[in-house]
Amino acid sequence: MSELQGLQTRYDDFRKAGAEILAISSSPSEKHRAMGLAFPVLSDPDGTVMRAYGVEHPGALPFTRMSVARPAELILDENRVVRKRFIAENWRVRERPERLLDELARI
Amino acid sequence: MRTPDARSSRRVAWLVWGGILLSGFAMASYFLIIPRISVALRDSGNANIALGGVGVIMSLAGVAAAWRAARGLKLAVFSLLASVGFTGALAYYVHGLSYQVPAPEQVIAVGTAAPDFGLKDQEGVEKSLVDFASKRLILVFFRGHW
Repeated sequence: MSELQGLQTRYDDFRKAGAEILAISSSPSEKHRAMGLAFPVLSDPDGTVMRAYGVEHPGALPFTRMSVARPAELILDENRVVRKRFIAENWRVRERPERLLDELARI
Repeated sequence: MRTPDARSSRRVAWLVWGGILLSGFAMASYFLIIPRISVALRDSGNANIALGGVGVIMSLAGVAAAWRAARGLKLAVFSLLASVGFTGALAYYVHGLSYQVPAPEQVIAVGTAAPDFGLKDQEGVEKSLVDFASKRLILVFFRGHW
């Protein structure tokens, strides 16, 4: 199960907590559509938004040297202020939905 | 009845091919099978490295058996190199390469306003933070693959 599929299984709980999920990756929209997810998955092919948030991993993909996101999850409040950040120390490990829901309940 | 000679070369073949296949399977399954079945095994990666280690031990035993039987040594050594290669590459990916990410200090700080943007969603519709006013947001920067 991918990170995004994991979030999808708890999507109702996120909405009950008054939160919406917004995913951003450097893949094209067609690839995101094929994932069949209920929440928006945004396409940032040149990494502009990733750079603005300081989560760009430049030239990380082999062969194409495309930029990808370093895995990170941010919680924004109603005023779009960053309230919590989860920053992976390696790219294999992603934050679990349970941790994000716990943090939503706390702030 | 089998001769001792035939029995020992069967033993060599079993260890040699078993070692290659097991360590190759340990590496490939970490990327292809484990992500579908267990988040815990995927996050750790050590179960696959251990399985690859068993493959290395089998290959090593294969080299010893081939040496004693004085046949099939070349293939046995190749098996050992391959299984050490597979398992070493996996261990390096899990414990070395995957940690090579940009410094966490660069990430936008807690307490700052998130910069707005306009990006296309999976239906081709442009979305920005304003579209989600009055809601809390989980912004997931997704690297891909899993």
